[in-house]
Amino acid sequence: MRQIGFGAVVFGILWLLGRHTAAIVIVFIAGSVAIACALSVRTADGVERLIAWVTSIVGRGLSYLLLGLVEILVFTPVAAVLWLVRRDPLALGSSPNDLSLWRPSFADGRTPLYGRQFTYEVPRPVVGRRSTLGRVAFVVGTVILLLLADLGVGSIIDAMKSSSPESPTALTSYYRGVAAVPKAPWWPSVLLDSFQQAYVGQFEPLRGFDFPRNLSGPYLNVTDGVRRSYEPPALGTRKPVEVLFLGGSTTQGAFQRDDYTIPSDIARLATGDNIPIHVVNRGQYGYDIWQEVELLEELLTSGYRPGVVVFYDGVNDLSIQSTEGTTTIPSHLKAQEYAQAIAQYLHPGSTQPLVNRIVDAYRNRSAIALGVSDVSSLFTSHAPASSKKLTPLQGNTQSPDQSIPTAITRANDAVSIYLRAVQLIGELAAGYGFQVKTFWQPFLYSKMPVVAEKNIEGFEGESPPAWFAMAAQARKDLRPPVIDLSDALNGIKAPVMIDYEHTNELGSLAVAKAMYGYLKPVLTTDLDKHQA
Amino acid sequence: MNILGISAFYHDSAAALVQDGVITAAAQEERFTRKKNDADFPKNAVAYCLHAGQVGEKDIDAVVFYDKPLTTFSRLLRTYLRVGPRGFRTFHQAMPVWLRQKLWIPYLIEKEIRELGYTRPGKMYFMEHHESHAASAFFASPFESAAILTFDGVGEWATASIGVGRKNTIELKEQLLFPNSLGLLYSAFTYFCGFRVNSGEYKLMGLAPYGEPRYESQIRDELIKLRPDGSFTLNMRYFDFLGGLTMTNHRFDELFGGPPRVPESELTQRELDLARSIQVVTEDIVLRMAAHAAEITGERNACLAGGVALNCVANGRLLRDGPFERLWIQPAAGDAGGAVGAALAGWYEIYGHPRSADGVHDAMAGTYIGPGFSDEEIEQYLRSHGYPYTAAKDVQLWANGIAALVAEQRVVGLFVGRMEFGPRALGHRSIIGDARSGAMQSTMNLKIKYRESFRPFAPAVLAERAAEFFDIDVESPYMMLVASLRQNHRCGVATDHPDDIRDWVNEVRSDLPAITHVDYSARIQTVNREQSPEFHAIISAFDAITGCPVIINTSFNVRGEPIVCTPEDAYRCFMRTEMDHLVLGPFLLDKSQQPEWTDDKSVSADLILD
Repeated sequence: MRQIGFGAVVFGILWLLGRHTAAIVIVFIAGSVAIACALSVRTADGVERLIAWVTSIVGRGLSYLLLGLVEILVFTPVAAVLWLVRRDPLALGSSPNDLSLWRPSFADGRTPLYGRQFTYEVPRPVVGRRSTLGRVAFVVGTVILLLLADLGVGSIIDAMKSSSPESPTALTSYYRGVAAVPKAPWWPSVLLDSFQQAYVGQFEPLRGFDFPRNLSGPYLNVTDGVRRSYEPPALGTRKPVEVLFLGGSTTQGAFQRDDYTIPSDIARLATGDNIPIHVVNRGQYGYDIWQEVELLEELLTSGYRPGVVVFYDGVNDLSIQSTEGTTTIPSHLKAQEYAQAIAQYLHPGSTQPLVNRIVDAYRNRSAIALGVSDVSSLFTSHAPASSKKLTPLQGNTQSPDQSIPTAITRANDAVSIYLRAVQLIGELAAGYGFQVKTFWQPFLYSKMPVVAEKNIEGFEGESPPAWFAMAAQARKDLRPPVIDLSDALNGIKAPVMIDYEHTNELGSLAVAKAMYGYLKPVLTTDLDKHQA
Repeated sequence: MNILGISAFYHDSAAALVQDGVITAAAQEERFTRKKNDADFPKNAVAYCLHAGQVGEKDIDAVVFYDKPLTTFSRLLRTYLRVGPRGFRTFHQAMPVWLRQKLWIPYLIEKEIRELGYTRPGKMYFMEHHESHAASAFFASPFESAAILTFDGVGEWATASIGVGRKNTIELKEQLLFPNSLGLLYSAFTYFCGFRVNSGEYKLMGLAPYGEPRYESQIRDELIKLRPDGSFTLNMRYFDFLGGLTMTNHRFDELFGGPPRVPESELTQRELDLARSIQVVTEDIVLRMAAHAAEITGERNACLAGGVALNCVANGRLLRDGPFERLWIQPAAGDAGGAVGAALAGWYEIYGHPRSADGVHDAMAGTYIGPGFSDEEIEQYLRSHGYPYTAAKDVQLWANGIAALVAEQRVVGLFVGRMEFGPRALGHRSIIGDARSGAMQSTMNLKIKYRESFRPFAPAVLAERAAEFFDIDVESPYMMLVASLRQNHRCGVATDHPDDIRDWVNEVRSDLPAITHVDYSARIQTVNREQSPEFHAIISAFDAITGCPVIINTSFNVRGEPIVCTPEDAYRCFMRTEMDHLVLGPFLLDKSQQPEWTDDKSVSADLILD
């Protein structure tokens, strides 16, 4: 029975941890041992002895370990402090120089505590029946103490979580269930570096936010805000066409290696067609088209002159309608968050009701809330808490209204804003003399569904029907010169979506090919212009 | 009303039952489990007490534990704060025991009692360790009021306490706190001289008369700082017991000229002198404490308990030179006696029952409150095993027969009546022999007790004739006092002593050589007819045959073994040693007539050296 019970416990733990194979192996082993024990007393005795021996060794080891930690973390520091302040914990108020070491009995003058395991307690003053006010004060005080304790513990937990980067094991185990994830040795490195970028976005006054301008890794490198791209070999003496890519994380190449992003694939395709090209990938996590316009203006005013500028957008422009609320003016994914922070700085207490702020502040630091959140995440999602925040790479707020009509309104507004940017880009292109192509990207809710992608989670738990409606409406609203690549991923049987917007390298190549069909004439024109 | 007292989990666990104010049963667990100083929960002792008291399954009114575990735990934690990482060697040993067992004592007691078939006790109480000792000393004493002095290694925090008992109350007035402990100081020397701590202290005491107090000044100057009132501080630079695995450290070694004696190795003059030195210092401290106790209590009688109170040499000195007119020392002065104290404290202090004392009779019933076996049970045992025996026709013939054997220099194991409670065998679980024999001490030590032969045996003397032989004018029924042999029984010995301590001890220096120590002292048991009629009859018969009312009385066991409890234990010990005869109640067994003993284990196989 002991073997079966032990096996059952191990099985349960492994099963809950998702180690189903290991759990089944354990069941097999435990079952075999139990059967062998039932058939042979000698075997049972041997197994009992083995278990006793192993548990004894393990127990002793754990005992040494745990008590060693207690000794090192508690007793030694306290003992050191007491030694430094010359305080003897055994002195109990006496000094070696006292004329007499006799001390009054502990229970002297106190009620004997025959029913207790300790010697005495400080007698409490005798008070009458507590008044209603007193009882209320007692209850309130107790509640406050409990809340403070909860906050204290929560703050410690939060600090510990914040100080430790997301566990690679947790991240990789979450993405292990995604069909499109490459079974390649480089994947964990690319995955972690992609998230490393997403962690450290910071406020930027003109464009809203910025991600690291420099990053170095075996597969993912950013230098002065430019993602490394495929460097084609020199094709004669012709000056390569300078192609600037602007867009969000899909442009930048999240979850893809430097040489397999959309810009790199374009460079490779152009080289194959004997077109000398130099691509500059300035995709930025979370960017919408207006931020890219701002970035383009900064580059142009600094004297940079690209031959061709490629805009690749869509999902972030739609998402803004969710995170910022339905809007008809250009914004970005963190506009509301920053606005609140600035408002709070300028007018403390005025941005939202005090109660809400207190509740929010408490909830963010409560050990109970953190515990409930962690426990519930075990049952509601396989994603680690922070990966849920990171997977969309687009903020935290979800739309309060996920009805289809609202989705359609949001699509209309998003495309309206987007088209105004496209118009401005056209004017900039005319003014500065570069060519431009604006592409509308494909994503989970606009492409043909693939069975293996059905488990992919959407944007922060928002309603997929609303997103399907929004994607469809956006396509209807798009007008030239925007090129709609929503169908670029259709027809690929293999899964390509890593999450609801990012693709694997197969997906990015498909998009690049679709894009290149439109770019090739432009590249050739620009090349001819330079040759002329 | 049934009150169960329990002492357990440190050493010498025991249980005692007080029924309507009377101690009806008490026993140490070691006697049942045969593990010397057994510290486990005294399940067997509890079962015995409840059975002996015919307590119904729902009739345990209260259980009183002799100690306050959480206070002790706090002292332990503070100790580890004092020693820091140095204490990890004992920390990792002590903490699991505390976490697994000692912090859950109420639940453990309840569980064990339920497993014995009894319902949950009505109430559970916890006395302070020294309060239990004090209660065992005062409430069991014959005094209406008395000063109380307790001292041992350590309880929760206290290592010694002074109090006063009046009628049914005890008031502990002052205490000396850990680590300043007379018991631990004495135990440190016990360890250093190569004996086992918590059981070898009486050996050190027995060794003292052979030595000179050459190290007294080192002890006073370096190890302790003694105050006039008997309180003192230990210089912890020399001791290792706070966080180490030994009692003393290298500085102690340097102070006393080398490392501790290896157990079982030859005793040297250093050990003899150390034993004498610490004995002298101990007596001085006890006398000062007693003077202080007399001063603050104003009492003329005193009661003693705690492990140090088993130092009967110091007790004798206190009686002779101390401030009190009368002394009463709890015969189970060690931790086992805490069970009796706890139960008595429950009856008098917690439940507030009145107490009366006549100044003469104590409440310990001669300590004969342990398990007893009827004649029928013993005969059934003998018959079932086919052991030949003869049965006496009446008590007088029985006593005459035994006395005659002793007079013929035979060694006789005596198993009669109920077992004694406490460390001393007082004639019910004893080995007896002829005190007049020059060879008897050596014979009994080496062939029967299997122990070092430097230790003299204790005399049992008829109470009414004790003063003829010993310099004592009070009764000593529990062998708790030492007195000198009177001059007229001494004979001259050479002033130059042999180098070998065993030759020295075997020198004939009195007409009772087997019980006379080298300083003519003797640890006396006075036997009166009222408390122990059988034992009194045997000695009287011996007196009638030889004219000598003194015999050797030593405990019925071999070295490292608990005193025998059952007829089976007694027979086994009888057959595995060179004892000549065994008395089991009214039955007499002759070794020469017994079947060959087939137990393949030698005595030494079971020994835990002490």
